Amino acid sequence: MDEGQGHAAGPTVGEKNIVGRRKMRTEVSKFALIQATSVGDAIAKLSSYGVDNSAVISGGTDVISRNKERIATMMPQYLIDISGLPLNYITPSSGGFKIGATTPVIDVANNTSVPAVLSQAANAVATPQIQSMGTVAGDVLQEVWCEYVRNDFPCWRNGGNVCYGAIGDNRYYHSIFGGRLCYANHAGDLAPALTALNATATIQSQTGTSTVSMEDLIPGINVISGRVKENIVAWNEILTEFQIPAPASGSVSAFYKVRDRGTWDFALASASVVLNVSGSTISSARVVLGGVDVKPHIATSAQSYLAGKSVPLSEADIAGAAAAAVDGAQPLTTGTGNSYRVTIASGAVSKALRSIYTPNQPTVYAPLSS
Amino acid sequence: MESTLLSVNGQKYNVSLEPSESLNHVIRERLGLIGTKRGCETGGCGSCTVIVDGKAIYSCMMYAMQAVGKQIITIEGLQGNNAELDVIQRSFMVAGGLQCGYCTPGFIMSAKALLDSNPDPQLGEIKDALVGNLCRCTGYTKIFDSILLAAKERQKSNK
Repeated sequence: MDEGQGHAAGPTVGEKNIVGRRKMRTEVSKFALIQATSVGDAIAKLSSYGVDNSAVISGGTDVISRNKERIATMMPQYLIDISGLPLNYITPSSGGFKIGATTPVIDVANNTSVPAVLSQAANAVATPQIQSMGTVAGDVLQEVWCEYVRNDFPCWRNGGNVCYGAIGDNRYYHSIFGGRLCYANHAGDLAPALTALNATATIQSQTGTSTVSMEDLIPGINVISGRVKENIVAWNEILTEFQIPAPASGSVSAFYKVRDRGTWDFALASASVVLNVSGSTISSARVVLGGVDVKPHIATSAQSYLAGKSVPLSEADIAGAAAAAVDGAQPLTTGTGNSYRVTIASGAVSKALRSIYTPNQPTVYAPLSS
Repeated sequence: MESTLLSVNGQKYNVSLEPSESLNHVIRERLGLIGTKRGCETGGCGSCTVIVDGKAIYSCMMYAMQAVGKQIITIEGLQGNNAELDVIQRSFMVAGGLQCGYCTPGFIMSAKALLDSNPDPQLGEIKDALVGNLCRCTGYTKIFDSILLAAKERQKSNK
């Protein structure tokens, strides 16, 4: 064929069939949206439609993105909608709280009774609109935001056998604490805060319910029902509730998130800290990093460093804890590399610790907009 | 496809919904309420913002079927019985809170959700409430001025 003629006859801008052009994002795939009448009903429907054909939807901010991006491996035929189930509540419970799975993130952000670390983390999620739609369990269980996964590269999560993030662009969405198979970060802000608060989660399955710690809910990369993922909630199970135990008396907490933009951005690193203080001495501490590991990263060295220190913390102690928080960091050196986020994670810890004893500090930092 | 009732601006609309239709698509293409804009279609720009059960949401990121049984308010729902503009709309005109106007309905809906829950916001609270809306023309300053003015005007009319 004459090349010139082919060009002249080819599609012009504005036509829908331009080679290589992404399909319009409005053309979401065909599927059925089915309202579940109970948690048991949702589980039965998921089980009968099967692992490759069904998925849970509630707030939709993650599922609809995936659907519009047309990620082949994440486009189920049946979406089971659990947003109408009575799982939307924040209830005081023996000194702590129970939070239903489909509670909108904004309700946690605006709640003045829950521990500061949790409401501050909820406030740092995306935008008010996303907070109003997205749910607590959806934030904790969201798919990773690795650009290779979300653009259908044949990586571990998409049925292949390589992690493109580990050898390519890993500046934003990949672990600085090593990994195996998939190196994509766990992205949400609420999971590290819930982990710092020693929260538990209830999962309902076909055979019954179980309640697990946050560490067991998101243990890191595993193969669950044939899928590479970081949490243990199987395709036909529903996470129904989080329980936050009563804080120890004298317990204080704070959250701090560093992101590139002033809004609508994932954490380059976040820090969730809880200090249990008796008198003026820290009896025990929880320090959990978000957005830097394949799971909420519990900084055990920083926790033991802080135990026994007196409050308000001295600048030397804050610096010591911040340095200890990134003990064992193994930033990626292949591809772009991501060692700069080790420094950011350490800084987030010092900011969070300092904010506890300096009221009215901002809880997010955005280098590009400040 | 089943016929169902969608409640928009206090009016019930009988529509047949495909599961894949976004609320934005149904509001604009089926109901003809084109004040709500379509922008990035990925839940980032805010031009599609409407209020569902009192909360500002991105209508491009919600399936219309999920909004059945909920109270939806669009920019058209702000006008009064004689088609007079809402105080927030008037404040945007008076304070010059728009240039090309494409993002404006979204900003006004976010501002309404804010002022309904917090009638006397500080500038910082206004900025926090609007981080989910993008404007490429104004530089935002006059939008903030418009909302501060709207808050004052609303308090005056409530007295």
